[in-house]
Amino acid sequence: MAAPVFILLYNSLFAHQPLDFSLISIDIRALFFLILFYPVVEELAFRGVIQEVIARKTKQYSAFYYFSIANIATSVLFVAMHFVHHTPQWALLVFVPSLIFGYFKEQYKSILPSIFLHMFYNACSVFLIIS
Amino acid sequence: MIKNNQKRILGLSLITALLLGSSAYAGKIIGANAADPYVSTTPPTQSGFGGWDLTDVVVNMTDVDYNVISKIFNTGDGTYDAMVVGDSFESQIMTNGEHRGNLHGKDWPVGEPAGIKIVNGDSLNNGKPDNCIMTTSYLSETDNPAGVNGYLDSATPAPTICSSAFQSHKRFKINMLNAMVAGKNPGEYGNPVDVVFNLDPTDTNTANVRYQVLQKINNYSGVRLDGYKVEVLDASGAVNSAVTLSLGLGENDGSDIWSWDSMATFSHGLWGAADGDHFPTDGFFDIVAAGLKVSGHNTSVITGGPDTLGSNYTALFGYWLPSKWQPTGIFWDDDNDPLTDAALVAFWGTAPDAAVGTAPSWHKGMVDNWAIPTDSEFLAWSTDPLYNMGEIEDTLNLGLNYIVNVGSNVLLANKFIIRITPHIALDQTPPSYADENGSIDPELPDITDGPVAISPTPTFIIGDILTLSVKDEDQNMDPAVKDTTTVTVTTDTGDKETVTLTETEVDSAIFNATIISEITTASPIQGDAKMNVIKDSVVTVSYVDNTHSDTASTLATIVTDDTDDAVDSSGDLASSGGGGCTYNPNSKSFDMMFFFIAALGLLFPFRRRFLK
Repeated sequence: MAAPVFILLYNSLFAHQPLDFSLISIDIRALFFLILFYPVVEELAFRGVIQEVIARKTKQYSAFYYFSIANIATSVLFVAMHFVHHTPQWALLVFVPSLIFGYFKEQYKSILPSIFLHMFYNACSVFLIIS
Repeated sequence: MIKNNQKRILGLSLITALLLGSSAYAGKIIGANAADPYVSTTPPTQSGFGGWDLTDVVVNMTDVDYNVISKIFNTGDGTYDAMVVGDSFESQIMTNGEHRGNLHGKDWPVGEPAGIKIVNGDSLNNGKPDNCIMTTSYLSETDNPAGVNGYLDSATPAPTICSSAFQSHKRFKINMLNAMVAGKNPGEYGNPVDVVFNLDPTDTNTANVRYQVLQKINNYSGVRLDGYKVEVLDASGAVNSAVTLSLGLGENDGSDIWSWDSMATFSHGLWGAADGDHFPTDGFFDIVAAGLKVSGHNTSVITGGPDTLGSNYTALFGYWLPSKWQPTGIFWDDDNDPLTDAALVAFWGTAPDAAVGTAPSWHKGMVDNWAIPTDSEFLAWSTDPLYNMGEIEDTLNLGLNYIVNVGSNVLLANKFIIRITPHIALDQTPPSYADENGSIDPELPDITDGPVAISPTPTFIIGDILTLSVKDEDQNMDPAVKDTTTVTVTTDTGDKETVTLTETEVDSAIFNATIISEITTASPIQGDAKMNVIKDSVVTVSYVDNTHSDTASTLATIVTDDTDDAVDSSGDLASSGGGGCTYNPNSKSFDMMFFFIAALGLLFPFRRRFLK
């Protein structure tokens, strides 16, 4: 419920034009992959495997404010992977969300929160771009 | 004696019954029933045929330039030789033995001869009649309630009816020719043209029948006009109380059907305010409607003019222009469809507040405060094939709104006449861009060295092909070959492309090329030879060489009706990435990057064992 509520709120406050839901309906398959499938795959790989491996190796180092070394390192890798297919600006923009995904993963000791956040983030991106 | 009286009473009763019965007949015009499905015939037959009396009409099958071709329209039964794209028609209306008017409709496959049809039994709101006299056009996919192409070249042609969508080509156009003013002086009414209609003799409906006339009258008379009159007469040419004209006053539940300034108007797209419904933007020339004030209601005659509606029409062009003085404009075919109307972007003439004697030049419209176009715009218009110079015919065409009330078909002998007569203006001064003989054709100015252009501009629809142009004499290295130069095209969403432009002619020094625009929800891919944009993206072309530098921009828009076109041809939401995913948003398939990430993710259930 949070994503659609957020989008509608965002649009009512800041957007100048209504959402074009006709565009959204064009490609349900693409939206499925983008909002449901890829967040699961990416979170399993990055927060589920990479961040845990790095955390095991760096547990002796203290956290940098709220963000552990493992979280920061994983986010750097996450950004690096995005350089492959995206512009530098776009790739760099995923750093902060990645840190937040990692923070929630550590706080809840589960990747489910980060998966849901990732889904929410992707959904927001799509809706805001279309609108 | 009693027997004789009985016979007299019987006889009188019979006569009375006959009289009552005859007066009960009403005035339905022969035509199509709005609810009836279209019937395809071989050869094709005009939809709604029979109501327009073609006794004094010559229907010519023509090409789109109205040159007569060797095809036949049968005025007896409405059948005609099969038409193809490039065919059209012209119906020449004779009155008193003179060829006084030409009636045109849309070219095939949008329209068919003879140009007027009658539709009965439609269902309209706002007090408008359920019947109409209209042109013989067919519905586009957009206007067709069935949502499919309804033109004559489709499997399911769909004729327009009275209630068809706004601006779905419902008005027939009568060009008033020189014979309508021949022998008449300025300040006088000219010679009329008669359009005759056949009533259905079998109609026994007792109510009068109301018809909205969907019509334009166009000034091809060769002189300026300042008014007109429309009369309705019976078959003998006499005023008959069984047929009258109405302006719809009080006929919409006590309110008027049309406002006072919408009964005789020039194109709303040229003169009229945006209304947020039918007209999303203000008129090109003015937000005030142009046209004539109309009077006469429930009478046999209505008149238009000489009072105008108060727009700047006369300040721009003088009184109602004849065709020989129609202004020239530059049109943008915004949907790349020659069957639809193009948008006017500039005209050749003088601004409405220009002093008398001011030389004509190119101007943009009222919204741009009559600005003279820039070199960049001239460059775009001269290189982009979607921009074309042409005559602004809508400055001649006056759209009329009125109603014919048709009573007893017996009293009218099953016919009535709509008679149209122009009124000649006193002032016959040519406009600034013309002489006595006609408009002087303008040309685009020589473009100074250095500008770069991108078109369409200032906006384009995502999916459009963008044309990039540069004028630079420096790069015309060899006057015998087509040289090349390069520009950089960027978007504010991060896309960047370098495009090679080729000289349009071997010695023109004008270079151009095209690049496709495509919607994307992912980050743009630089160097993929297309501009990946989203709604409201700004696309900028930049040109820099040793002596020149210039930029030009255009804004991405989306048209809801063309959403499918705005999305790439594969049918997918193009590059459906977004949100920062690690797969290639442009490949539309999984690549090695995805498989690597997925394989890593599959290790998740075993990570603890692996870590130990």
